Amino acid sequence: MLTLVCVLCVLLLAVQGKSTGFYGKGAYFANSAGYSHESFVHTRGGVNTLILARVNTGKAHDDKTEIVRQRVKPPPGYNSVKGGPHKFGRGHYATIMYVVYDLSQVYPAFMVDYTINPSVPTPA
Amino acid sequence: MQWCSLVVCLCVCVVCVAVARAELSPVLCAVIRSLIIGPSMRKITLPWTSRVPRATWTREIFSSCKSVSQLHSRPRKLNECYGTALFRLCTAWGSPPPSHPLLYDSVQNRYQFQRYEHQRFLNGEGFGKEGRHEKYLWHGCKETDPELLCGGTDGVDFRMVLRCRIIPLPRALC
Repeated sequence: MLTLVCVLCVLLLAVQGKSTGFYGKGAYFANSAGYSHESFVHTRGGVNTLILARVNTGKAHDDKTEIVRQRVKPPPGYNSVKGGPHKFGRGHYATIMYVVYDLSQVYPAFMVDYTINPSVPTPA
Repeated sequence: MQWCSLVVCLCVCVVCVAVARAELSPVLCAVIRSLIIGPSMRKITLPWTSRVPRATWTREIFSSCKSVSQLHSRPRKLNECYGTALFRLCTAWGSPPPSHPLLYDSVQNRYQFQRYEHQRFLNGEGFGKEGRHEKYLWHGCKETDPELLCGGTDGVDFRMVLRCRIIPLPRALC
């Protein structure tokens, strides 16, 4: 019985475990700082940090809003994938996304620390 | 005279074979290789064999700077070096910016920079001018410390690759 339970656990993990982004296994970059803030900002001690990176997008394949979750490299003849505009959940900022599948196409140029000013309203 | 030339040829052959099999000492091998190949090879191989230097970042505080216009009133040199990030942050959020930039760090990671420039050069060779095209884009790293990404040799994270979730089994199976 214990073996059966172990096998079932492994199967469930294997089936439920996969969760990739819209454009597959890659590093995602946004044109708008607002989108990155709403989605994946790193917060420590009330201070938010975002990375402003130099991305060698090269020849970008425009996917628009088509979702290709199985992708692990750009289509032949392209260096990166471009998609969107997207919003994160109920977020306010729509942005064009760029996805690169090779880490050497990215250089993190700046780390920006900031706080949000609550008196300034976000756009509708 | 013919014997002498034959002996010299044999010696050269023996040395070449020994170098090829690396039976000589490394110092002698390096000397012979530098004689045969020339000093230019050493310049190419040296950066690859050297240790990877530690990354540094230049921290600049802009707590007193609350708008883009104030940033532009700062000295020209400072704007060119550090103003890009703050300017882009403010313009990317729209006007007025709903954020107070406190400080930002210009990252100097030689390993990642060389790797990036090399890849950009290769893309340029393969795809022409379009392959070298680059953009300044934003990246958020929710679960990873940004200093780890900027200071390490791996670079940014490939997020959402594999996320495991444990599901409680029904009581009947246990």
